[in-house]
Amino acid sequence: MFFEIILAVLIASLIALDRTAIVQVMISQPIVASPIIGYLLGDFLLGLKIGIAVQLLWLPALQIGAAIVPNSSLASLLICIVSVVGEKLPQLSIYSAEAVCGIVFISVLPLMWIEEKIDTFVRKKNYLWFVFARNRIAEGDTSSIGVANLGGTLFFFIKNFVFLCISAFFLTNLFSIVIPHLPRKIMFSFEIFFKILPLAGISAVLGELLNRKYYFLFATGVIIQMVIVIIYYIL
Amino acid sequence: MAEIVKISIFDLIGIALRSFFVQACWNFNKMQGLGFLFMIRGTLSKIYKDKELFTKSLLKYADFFNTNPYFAPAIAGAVMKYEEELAIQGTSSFNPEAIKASLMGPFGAIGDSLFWSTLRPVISAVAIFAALANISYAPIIFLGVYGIISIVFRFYATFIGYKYGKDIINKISRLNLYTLINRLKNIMALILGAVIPLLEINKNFMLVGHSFFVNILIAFGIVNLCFVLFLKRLTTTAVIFIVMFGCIMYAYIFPL
Repeated sequence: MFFEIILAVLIASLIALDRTAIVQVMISQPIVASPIIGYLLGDFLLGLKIGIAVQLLWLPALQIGAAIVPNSSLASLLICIVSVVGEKLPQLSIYSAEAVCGIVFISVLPLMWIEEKIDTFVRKKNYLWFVFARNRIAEGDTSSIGVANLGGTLFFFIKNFVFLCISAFFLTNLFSIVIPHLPRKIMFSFEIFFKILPLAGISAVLGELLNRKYYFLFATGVIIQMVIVIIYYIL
Repeated sequence: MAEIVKISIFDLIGIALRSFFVQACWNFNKMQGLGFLFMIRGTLSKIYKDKELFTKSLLKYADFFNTNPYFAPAIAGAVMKYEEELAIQGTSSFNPEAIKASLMGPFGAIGDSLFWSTLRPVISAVAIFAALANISYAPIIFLGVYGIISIVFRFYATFIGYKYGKDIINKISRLNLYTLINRLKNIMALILGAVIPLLEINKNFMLVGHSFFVNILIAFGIVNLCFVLFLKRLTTTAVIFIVMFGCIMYAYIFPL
């Protein structure tokens, strides 16, 4: 389990860099990142389910300008690592994967708040790289620009790695102890909770990214797809 | 007389490739300032053979910069057009620093609306729709479509930035991007609606073991309830906790 988590965290930390630091082809989006980690850990489908839920819920959260919003990439990666690794633990393997995912999901929310604070700290400290580069340019050394620029990425990587590592080990160990003591009804409620998350996510997109004027089109989409499903099943 | 060196197609490709790192050292003080320097450093060193002029020119840009990352190479391209004029003729038709300052705001707004608020959600909705329709390579659809669009756009932006200089903003506005954004949002609303029946026929997300119609009604009800909560300006976290408490209540009220 130890090396599995370390390897997953290492890859996840690299993937998460794509979110705001480098490349930005959006491999870090939950719908992509989570299935990748799920596949590497042995459960692609669970990764995809987590990816769908997290993607929809935090789609309206836009990191524009100086705004620091919940890091949906790290959230989905963490939920995926803990849930898929947890699935293999004998203490948790008897429970529904969705129920475990639901509990992990809710536990990750306060951790996301902590991550936002660490992210803000790193972004403040990154200014040091800028000052370093400017001073070196003034001294006539222009080659330091690339090093300084990648220095910022190194800070982001260290932040991702440390956060994911501590959180993944903490949550995996915590839930392997706590979940077996939870009442069946609580487990059942978290199973439903996980299944409802994509619906809440659709509302989030509808309410925050789109607005009331798109509601008619949204309802039309529901009806058209219902008709298609019915025709498909009849035929 | 100093040797005259013009910017080549390879220099522009270099700017586009370096633009992938424009946010690598993002900070609150200068935002993408260092990333911008990184983007233009290679090309500036080519056009300014004199080391002192090169250093002076770099220091000129060691300042605040912030725009949409996909539009950043367009600004770098436009700036390099005037820097090239400056290096060759000793004067340029427009001040490149002013071009940088004047373009980053509008491009930030257009880029964020186009890429973050529209393209990403629309392609996400398509990928989610595909995943629920049991297409297992749905994540590749997202990555492929968004990745190709964003990568091609970075290169295109660099070239048109260099070609049109300050006029690039007129060229972009003629593309009528806001109409495109509106149309894409219409498509997104339709797809999101279509996702609900798919969720309820997918055994992984099917709510309870009722019939298809009952499940659709329940799902539609939940979406509308949460929609009202979002319209009341509740945060996503608050809505998630409300949903969780609702689920716990449901589990205790109804038998397993």
